[in-house]
Amino acid sequence: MVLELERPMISLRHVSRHYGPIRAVDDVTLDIAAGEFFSLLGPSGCGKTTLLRMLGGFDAPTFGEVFIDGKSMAGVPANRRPTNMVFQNYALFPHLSIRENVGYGLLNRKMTKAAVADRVAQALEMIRLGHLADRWPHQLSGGQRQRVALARALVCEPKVLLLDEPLGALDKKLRAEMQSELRRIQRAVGITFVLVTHDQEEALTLSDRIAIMSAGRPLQIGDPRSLYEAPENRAVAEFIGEMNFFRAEVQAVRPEGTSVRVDGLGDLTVATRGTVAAGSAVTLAMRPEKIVLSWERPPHTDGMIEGRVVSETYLGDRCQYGVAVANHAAPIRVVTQNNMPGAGRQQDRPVWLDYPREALLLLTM
Amino acid sequence: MRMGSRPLFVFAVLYVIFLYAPAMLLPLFSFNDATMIAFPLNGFTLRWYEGLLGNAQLMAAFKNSLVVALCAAAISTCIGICGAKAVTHRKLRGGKAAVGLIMLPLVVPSIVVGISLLMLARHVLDIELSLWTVGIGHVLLCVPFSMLVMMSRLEGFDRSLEEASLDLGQSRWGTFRRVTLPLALPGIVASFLLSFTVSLDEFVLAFFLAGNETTLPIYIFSQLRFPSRLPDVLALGSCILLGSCLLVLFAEWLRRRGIQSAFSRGI
Repeated sequence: MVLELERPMISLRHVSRHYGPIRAVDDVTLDIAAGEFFSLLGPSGCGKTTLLRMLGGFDAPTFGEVFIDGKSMAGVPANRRPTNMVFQNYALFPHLSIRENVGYGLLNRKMTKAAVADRVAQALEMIRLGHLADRWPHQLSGGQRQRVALARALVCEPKVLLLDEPLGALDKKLRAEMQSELRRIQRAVGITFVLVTHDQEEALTLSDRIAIMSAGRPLQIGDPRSLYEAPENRAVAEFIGEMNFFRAEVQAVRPEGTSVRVDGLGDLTVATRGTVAAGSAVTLAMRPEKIVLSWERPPHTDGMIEGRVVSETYLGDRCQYGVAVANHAAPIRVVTQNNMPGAGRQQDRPVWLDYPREALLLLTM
Repeated sequence: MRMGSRPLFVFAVLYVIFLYAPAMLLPLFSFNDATMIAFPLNGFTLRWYEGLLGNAQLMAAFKNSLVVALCAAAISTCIGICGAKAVTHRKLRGGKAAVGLIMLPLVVPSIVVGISLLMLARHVLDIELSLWTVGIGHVLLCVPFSMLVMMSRLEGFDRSLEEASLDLGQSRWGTFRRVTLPLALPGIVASFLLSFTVSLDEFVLAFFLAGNETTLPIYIFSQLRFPSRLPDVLALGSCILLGSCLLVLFAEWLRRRGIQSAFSRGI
């Protein structure tokens, strides 16, 4: 699980945080590279925020050690760490103007007043809010406050920027805008970003790498593509995107692949992943959009699945169908683009499903 | 006019009269040119007010009260800030029990507190009764008010603001000075004013704990025995009434003016 990085900006070594009998973070070891946009993704209560707070110095590990830029952070309080945080609710100081909020982190620096003013003006320019410098936080919209919080943290030029669900309170359109803004700023400043989010789309869009967290541990760490295309276990496959699952039994393990008998799909050979033994029960997973749906009977139906449409969900640009097939309990979910002729047909029609063999993923856990 | 609002309006007017009419008698008779408190009024005079300034005993008592009230308010507000910060911001073991104990003077009759403090001062510690003992008694009485005001202020306080300040490089003290204190300022002012008024008109504890120097309520009470002095007391009462009105107006003005302009300085 530990990637060998040239020079990790952040290193966690067997970090645990226990609250009484609860293990909020449970023996986490991982490295984050300098300049990386790293996301901690998971449902609420998975320990991602606790982990972030331990990086920021607001919480201390019960066991294990945190290193930032090669230095141990044990006993180093938040105000002496090379990190800055963007809080979930922005935490702008209500009694200070926007300019004073942004300049707050420079108060104790040995800088001339002019230099401070310069830095603040630059930061406000970067978030395109220079014209609002003399307003108060309560006069700004949610998106503007979010950007001010970002500028306030970045003006300190931290080595690591920590973001705690920074876009959670914004509406969908604004969130998309802020995502590209975040990415743009991260590329521009080159600082290591660590983002906590429960929004998988946000994590996939923004991150270089993602750790999917559950019960205080990372289930899998990887870049967005590998997490989506090759989840290592069922929990990850379920958490990211939509997935069809098939129960299967291993028939034989051969060099060219594993032969499996799959409920609803029949006998197949798929790529071997993990350790499998003949006779063991496994799960096969397949993304709904990998499946090709035909409304008319194709000339060759070898290897295709015949089924019946039982549900139809219109998603604007896409359509999701539930297709009932023999010998498989749940309907298979299929997503098609709405540019296909025949989309939006009525229910109960017979359909034929085709799929590339490599779309089937063997999961042992 | 909405249905039913007229009876409510009448009720409200009657209620306000009930509340304030007795107090309004004070200024009315304080300008009356007669020693007897009775209608019809006799004519306008300011001599009772002039008499106030010439009354050395009264001015001494007033000064004593002011000193005791200012000190008690300042001390209890400081204790209130620290105590409220402790019980609202930290997972304090026994915090709830501590709050309960601190609030006790609110429910224990002051006569009981007065007697026990008197016994403590005279028989256990053997210290002379003075304004100091009154002041200490008043602090005991004012701390619950300060705590209540400060706790409600600090409980509505977003803890991440202090974390943000730490995160941005400020020390704990810098955070307290630059973030906690300015944001708690309306509470501090409220706590100070409340403690000040509680101490200023407190009678029972002062009665038990004052030595030779009296406070204003005790002086007023002692004067009631002499009918000829009554107009003086009325004039004094009117002054106090005016003073407390000004105090309330000042507090409200401060609140509306907000903490922003008062405490933000250029960076």
